[in-house]
Amino acid sequence: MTSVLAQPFSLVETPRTAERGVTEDAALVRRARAGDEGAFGQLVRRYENRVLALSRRATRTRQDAEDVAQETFLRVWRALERFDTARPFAPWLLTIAVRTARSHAAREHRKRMIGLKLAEPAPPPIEPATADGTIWEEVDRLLPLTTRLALWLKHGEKLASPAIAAAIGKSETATRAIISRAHRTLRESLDKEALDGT
Amino acid sequence: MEPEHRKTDELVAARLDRDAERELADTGSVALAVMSRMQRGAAEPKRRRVWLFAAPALAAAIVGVASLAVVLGTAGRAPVQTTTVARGETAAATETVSETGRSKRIGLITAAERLSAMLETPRDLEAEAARDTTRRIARGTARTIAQSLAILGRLSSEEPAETPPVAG
Repeated sequence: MTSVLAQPFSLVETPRTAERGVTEDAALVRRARAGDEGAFGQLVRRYENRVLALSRRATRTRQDAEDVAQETFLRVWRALERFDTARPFAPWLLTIAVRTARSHAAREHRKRMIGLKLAEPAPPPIEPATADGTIWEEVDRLLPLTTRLALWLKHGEKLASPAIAAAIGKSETATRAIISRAHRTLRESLDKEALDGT
Repeated sequence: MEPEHRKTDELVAARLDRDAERELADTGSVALAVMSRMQRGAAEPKRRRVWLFAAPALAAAIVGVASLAVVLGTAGRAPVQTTTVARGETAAATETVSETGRSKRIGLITAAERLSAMLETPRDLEAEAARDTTRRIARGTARTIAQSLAILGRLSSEEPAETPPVAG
């Protein structure tokens, strides 16, 4: 149990560490399927930051992002029997996260449309994830939901175009076009100094 | 793409990569909340919730449709007049049709149909039409109920609806 938790997770995985991660994920999934909630807890801890970061792309507040992340893991728990342990866990999890985030955004939109939020004040501005802000605030402010999610899967998760396309439900060509347009939008909205800055 | 734009796009991509690392450093308390919700039973499939709402609605629909069918059936059923046909009359009709050159079997059926049509009163025809309508409505309703049950069954078995069927 501690061996998995003790291993720091790195976004830049070498093939060997990636393979080891896949094996460990599969073992945890098998244990979780057998009813070991502790094993599932380890899976959640392994991936919570990644799911939370992706959820932030579809929500305005940190609280909403945490709700989406929680809902994602609960869906994963319910669907665990359907996961093919011969395949990597992360893309499957991220696909569920994307769909949960989209459902949340659609639900919020519907609430606004049918006027349930008429009595509430205007939606709050997007909360920055870090104190001094990142370029992702501009992403969340400027770009539509699918584009934000695709851009995160590319730069935050380092997924290749086919995996991004599968997660967002678009063709590879459309996915590449979406990401290219997003880069152009950001290029046009940010000056060079902002891009060079940290 | 112009070289200047290409360079700016590379800067954008590099900044996105760099800031993504900072976003990922943001830690949450998701694991604790998830485990707590699982222990409270929030991770149970939604199937139960679907049936919770679907079962009473389905029962009400079945009762309503059954009542409708009974009402329609009673309204459409008119007293049927019975007429006795003498054997000689049927034979005469059969012979007449057979003389046209058709086969005996077809001739018999046609003769029987014609005789039946001749003997039926307009009231009989109305009653039969009403019964046909009732039967059609009942069949259509049964089909609708069967389709509704199939959809509910599918909804229940596909839980959760938004998870991919296999790993990607």
